[in-house]
Amino acid sequence: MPAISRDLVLGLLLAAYSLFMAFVGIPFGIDSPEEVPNPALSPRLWPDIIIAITAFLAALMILRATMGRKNTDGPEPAGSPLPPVEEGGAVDPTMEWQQGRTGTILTLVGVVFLLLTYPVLHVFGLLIGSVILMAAFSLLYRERQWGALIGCAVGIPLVCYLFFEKVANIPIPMGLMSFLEG
Amino acid sequence: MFEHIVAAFGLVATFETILALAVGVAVGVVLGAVPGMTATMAVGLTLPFTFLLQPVTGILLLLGVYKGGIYGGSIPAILIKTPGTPASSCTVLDGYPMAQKGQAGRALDMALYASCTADLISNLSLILFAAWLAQIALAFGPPEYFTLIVFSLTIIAGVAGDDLVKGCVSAALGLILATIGLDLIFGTDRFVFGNTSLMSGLNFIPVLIGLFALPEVIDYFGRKASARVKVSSVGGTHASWADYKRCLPTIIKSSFIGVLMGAIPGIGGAPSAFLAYSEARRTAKNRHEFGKGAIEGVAASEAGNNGVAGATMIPLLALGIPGDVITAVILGAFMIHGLQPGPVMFQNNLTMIYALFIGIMASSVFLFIIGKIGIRMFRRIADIPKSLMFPMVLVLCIFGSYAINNSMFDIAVMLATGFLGYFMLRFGIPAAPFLIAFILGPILENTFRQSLLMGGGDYTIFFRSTINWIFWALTVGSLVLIVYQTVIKRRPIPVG
Repeated sequence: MPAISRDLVLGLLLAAYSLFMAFVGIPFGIDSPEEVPNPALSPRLWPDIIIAITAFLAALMILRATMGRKNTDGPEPAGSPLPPVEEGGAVDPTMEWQQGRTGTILTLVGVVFLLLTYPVLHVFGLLIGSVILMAAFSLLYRERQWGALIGCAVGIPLVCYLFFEKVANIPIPMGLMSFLEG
Repeated sequence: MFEHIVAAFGLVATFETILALAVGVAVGVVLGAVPGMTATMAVGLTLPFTFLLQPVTGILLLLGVYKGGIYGGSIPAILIKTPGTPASSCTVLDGYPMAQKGQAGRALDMALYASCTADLISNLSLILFAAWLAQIALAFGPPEYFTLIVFSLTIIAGVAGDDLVKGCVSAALGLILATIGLDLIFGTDRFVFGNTSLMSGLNFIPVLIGLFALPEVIDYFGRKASARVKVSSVGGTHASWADYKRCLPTIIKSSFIGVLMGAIPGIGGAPSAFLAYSEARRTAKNRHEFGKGAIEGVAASEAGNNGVAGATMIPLLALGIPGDVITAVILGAFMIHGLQPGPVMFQNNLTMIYALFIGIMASSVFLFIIGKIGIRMFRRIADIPKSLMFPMVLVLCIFGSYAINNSMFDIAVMLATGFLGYFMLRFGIPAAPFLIAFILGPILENTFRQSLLMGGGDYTIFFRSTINWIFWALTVGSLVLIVYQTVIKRRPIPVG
C-alpha cells in the first residue's frame, strides 16, 4: 500500500473511531451520575477531551494525506543499514520481507495461529498449551532442526512452569490436564 | 543521613541482591545482543520474574537488565553491522568497519570501556541531581504536575518516530485505554461493560508485553533471513590503555551529552548517541577517519547512549515521571512493589533511595566484569535462530502476563494489545508514546480533576503559578522545535 494512501486510510479509521466513541462508546460505556455538581467531576469529561483531540488529529491526518504529503513511516525496507530509532521497538534488518503476496499471506496465517493461542491455553493449560504453541510456531517459522525444536518446545515451557509454580508459588492452570497436578 | 546510608548498604549487600544485579546485567547483555530484541522487551519480559523478590532486589534486577541491554546492543552492531537495540545504531558506523579490518576485539573493548565510564558518570549525575530536583518538586501541586506531565507527553510524542501527528495519536490511544475501569471520584463504570475483570482497569504489564513483544512475533511470519549473515571474528586485538586515554575526553564529553539528553523526558539513547557522535566528529582532529573505523567514533556513540541510562532515572525518582519507555516499565515495577517514586519517597523512604543509588553504582562494576568475560561468548548470540527465539518470547509473554494476577484475562489483554501493536507497526504509529501515556494517563487525569476542583472549575488555575508558566513555555517550545524538525529535512550522516 503506498505511503500516502496508508495515511489516508489511517486518518479515516481514526475519524470513524472518534465518531463511534463520541456517539456510542462514551455515552453507553460510561456510567455517569445524573446530577454532577461540577463539570470537572464528570466521569465523561476526560474521555471526551481525549476523543476530541483524537478527532482533531484524524482530521489533520486526512488533510495532510489529501494534500499529497509523503510519509515515510513504517517498517524499514530490507537492506536498510539502520533500523528506526524509536526506543522500545526495532525492526531486524537481517530479516527481509517475503517477495510478492507471500509475506502478507504468511502473516495472515500467523495471525490466525495467534488467535488460536487463547483457546489452546484455555483447554490445555499453560504448560501443555505452551508446548503445543512453541512447537507449532517454530514449525510455522520454518524451523527444521528437530532436536532443537523439540528441546526448546518442551524445555522452555517446563522451565517457566517450574519457576512460577514451584519457586514463585503461583499456581499455573493446567486446563484439561489438571489431573497431572494430582 | 548516615544511618540511612548504612541501612541502604544492608539492603544491597545481600547475596540475593548482588546475584540479581549480576544476573540482570548478564541477561540484559544477552538479550540486548540479539537483533530484533530490545532492551525494553528484555526489561518487560524480566518484570514478572521480580514479583517474588524484595522491592530493592527486583528493581535492581530490572536496572541491571536495562544497562546490560544498552551495552549488549553494541555487540552485533560491531560484529554483524546490525544494532541489537536502536540505541546502538550509531555504533555501526565505525564499529563494523573496525571489525572488517580485523579489529573487532578492539572495538568491542572500547565499546565496553566507554559504556562503563559513561554509566558511572550518569549514575553520579543521578545521585547529585535527583535529590535536588526532588526538593524543588515538593513545591509542586496538582496544577504543576499536570503541566509537567503534558510537557513530558509532548516531548515523548514528538521524538518517538518521525511523525509528530502519529506520535500524538499513539499517546491519545494510550490515554483512552487508561480510562478503562472505575471512575476515581464516583466509582462508576467506564468501559467495563459488566466485565468484573475490567473494573480495576488494564494491568500495564500485559499491555507492555503485548505492545512491544508480540508485534515482532507477528511481523516475523512474513519475513525470511536475508543473505547469509557473516559474523566477524573477535580476533586477538584489544583496546589498549593508550587507546582509552586518547578517547577519554571524547567519552567524558559524550557522557555529559547523554546525561543532558537522558534527564529530559522522552529523548532516549538513540538521539543521544547520534548527537554525541556528531559532536565528536565535528571536533576530532582525525574527522576524516570517522565512518571508516575510527575508535573515537565507537567511544562517542557508546558513551552517548549509555550516558542516558542513569540520567533517565532522575525524573523518575525525583518527580515520578518516566524519562523513556524503559523507565516507564521501571515505574510500573515500583508500583507493583507498593512504592511511589517522587519527592515524597525522598522524604519517607530515603533508605530505599540510597539503596538504589548504591546498587546502580555497583551495576557499572558488574557491567565491566560481565562484559569483559563474555565478549568472546556473546558473539554466538547473533546466531540464535529467530525461529526458536520468537516462540520462546511468546511463551515468556504468556507466563509473564498470567503471573501478575493469576488471571487468564491478562493473557487475553496481552494478545489484544499485541494485535493493536501490530496494527500500529504497520501504520507507522510509534508504540512508546502509547505506553507512557497509558501509565501517566491516570495521574494526568487525577491532577487535572484535582486542579479544577481546587480552582472551582476555573481553568485559569493552570496558569496561576510561575512553575506552570515555565512548563507551558517548555511545552510550546518543544512543539515548535519538533514541528520545525519535521518540516525541515535533516541531512543524513554519511554511512562509511
